Amino acid sequence: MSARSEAIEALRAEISLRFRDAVVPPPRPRGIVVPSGWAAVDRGLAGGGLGPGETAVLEGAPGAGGLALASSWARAAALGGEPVIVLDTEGSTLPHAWVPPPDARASIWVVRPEVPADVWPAADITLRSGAFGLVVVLDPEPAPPGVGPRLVRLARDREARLIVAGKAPFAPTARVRLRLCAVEWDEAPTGAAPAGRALEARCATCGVPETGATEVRSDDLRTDRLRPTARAADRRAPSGRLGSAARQSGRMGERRR
Amino acid sequence: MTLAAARARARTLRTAEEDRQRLAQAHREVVRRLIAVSPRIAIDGPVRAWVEPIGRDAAWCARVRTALAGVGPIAVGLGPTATVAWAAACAVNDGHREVDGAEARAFLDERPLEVLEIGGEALDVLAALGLRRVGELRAFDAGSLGMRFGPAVAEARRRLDDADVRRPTTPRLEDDATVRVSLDDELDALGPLAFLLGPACDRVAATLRARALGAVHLSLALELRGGREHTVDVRTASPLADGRAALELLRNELDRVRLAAPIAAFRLGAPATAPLRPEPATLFGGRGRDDAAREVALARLRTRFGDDRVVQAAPVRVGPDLLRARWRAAEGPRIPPAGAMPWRRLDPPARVAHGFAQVAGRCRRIVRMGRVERASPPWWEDGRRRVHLVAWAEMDGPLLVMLRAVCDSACDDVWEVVAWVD
Repeated sequence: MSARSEAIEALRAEISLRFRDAVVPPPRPRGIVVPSGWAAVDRGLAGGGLGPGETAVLEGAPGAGGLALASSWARAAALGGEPVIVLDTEGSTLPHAWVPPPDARASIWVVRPEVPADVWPAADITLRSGAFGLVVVLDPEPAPPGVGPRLVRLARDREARLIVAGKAPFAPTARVRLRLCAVEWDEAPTGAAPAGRALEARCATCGVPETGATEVRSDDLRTDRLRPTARAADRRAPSGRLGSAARQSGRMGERRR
Repeated sequence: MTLAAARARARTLRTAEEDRQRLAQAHREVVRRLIAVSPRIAIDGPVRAWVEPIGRDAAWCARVRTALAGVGPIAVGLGPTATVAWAAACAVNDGHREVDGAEARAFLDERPLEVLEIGGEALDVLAALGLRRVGELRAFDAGSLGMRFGPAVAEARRRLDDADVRRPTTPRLEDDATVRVSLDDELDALGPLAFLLGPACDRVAATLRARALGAVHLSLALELRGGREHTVDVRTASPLADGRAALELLRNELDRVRLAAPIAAFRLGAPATAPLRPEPATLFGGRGRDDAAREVALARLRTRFGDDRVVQAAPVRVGPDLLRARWRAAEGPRIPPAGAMPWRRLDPPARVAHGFAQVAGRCRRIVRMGRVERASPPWWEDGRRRVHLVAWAEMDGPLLVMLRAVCDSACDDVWEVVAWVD
């Protein structure tokens, strides 16, 4: 046992001895709970985040904030000292989403396999190593049979967290459904420009019924993909102002004055 | 001196081809033995070593001779300068001679000019001029000797005036954590090599671990049929304590190797080592994430998908909003160009508090700091002005470290150690 481990053991024993009544054994003694960074989502998850060995699936149409939530979760994990690896199936995300916070205690790596189907072997390698606290898989292809349970087992054994943004080949511990509710627009000299968006998140944890919809406000409207695939339809008229389809959809018609 | 001339002087002279490897091995052995009697040793040439004496007495000389017993005839000379010590050693064939400061000049003046190691041709010219003793050379000044007989003679004359800079230095024993395996049957493929490489990696790692060291550079030399050699190098960002991780990293590199000829032998060594880090742990948790396992996983991903497919995002502080970050190659084992210093990056950086920081396995003090320079133009974020600063510093060890700081107008500066080299 190294000197540092001995010191930690001694400190742990002393704290337990001195504050026997005050020390409450943590519910997950072998790792930290990584919050998502979105308070509304954390409130909806049992435990306030993702614990070691747990899995989550982020569901939502393109533009609903799935990538933003995954990015926030990765940055929160890096901040908490858990190394993060992101498996970007399409290789289309822009780098700014994966810049770790300035005071992060761990790094974020991004793997962009050339063949989309390679994302599952990559997930296997990263989970099997046990060296990453959070593995994020973005928009994966359908997995071959047996891959899902194996990844869940690896995540549990190695005390890693696995987040899949898209369709997951396993039953996750937590499921977050995202929906774009409204986009706020600013008047600009060249026409209306988006200023913020309101998202709706519904969280469901294994064994706990799905929570009601909670509203999440996001001001980060930067493009996060280089080659967007299917996108939400642009409801603006060619002039840049809101078109008739948008006006009909209630909240989309709200403008910020 | 020609071989014929040497034979004419020594009838029992035996000759052998120069074998640098054998000579280096003999030097290592000499240093290993001498380290028991002195902390500072410098090997100089094939048959001479400068050693800092611990006490000037016959007992210490006897210990030196005991330490080197079996090597051959040992002459030990003690003197106030290296020139006097060498002359004293030359005065005895197999024994020791001590010359103190008071008698040094008289002793040296009586010695033949050969003890000054001037060189054959100049020595012959000086002898022809009637200069055969050191005392006779002392009558001339170094400048005029240099103009007439060359810089070697001038240098020898300066050494007589206590300007002898030859000193023993701190010895650096070459790492003996090397395993060499000769194969009875040559291997045509790399697959079976893994079975032999595993125990070799374990042995190298265990040898280093016993000294609280880990390998940061592993070198595997594959000796091929026909005398050719193929070298595979693996560098790691953190010292490896586990032989299995070393094996995995080497296997990843071997996957890319195409053999030009069957393997006859291999040699595994650790040319660069670093103090082992304490095991990562959390206060109320178990063990932390294993750095070596992460390096293995990243190496596997690189091997499978290509080096450019594993990246990290780096922030960019200038330019339009969408270009505020860029991709860069992920940190990991990279072979630096020849001559590059073996910088070791600290990930995450070690924060400096009250002049101390946790670097290379222990808490070290900043001894000296270089000029602080601005790394990027200032920028404003959330109404606060920020500047990036960098500086070089020397920490005890001694280590050369690179410091960086983010100076925020709203709070105190925070300095961090981002890389170090010993």
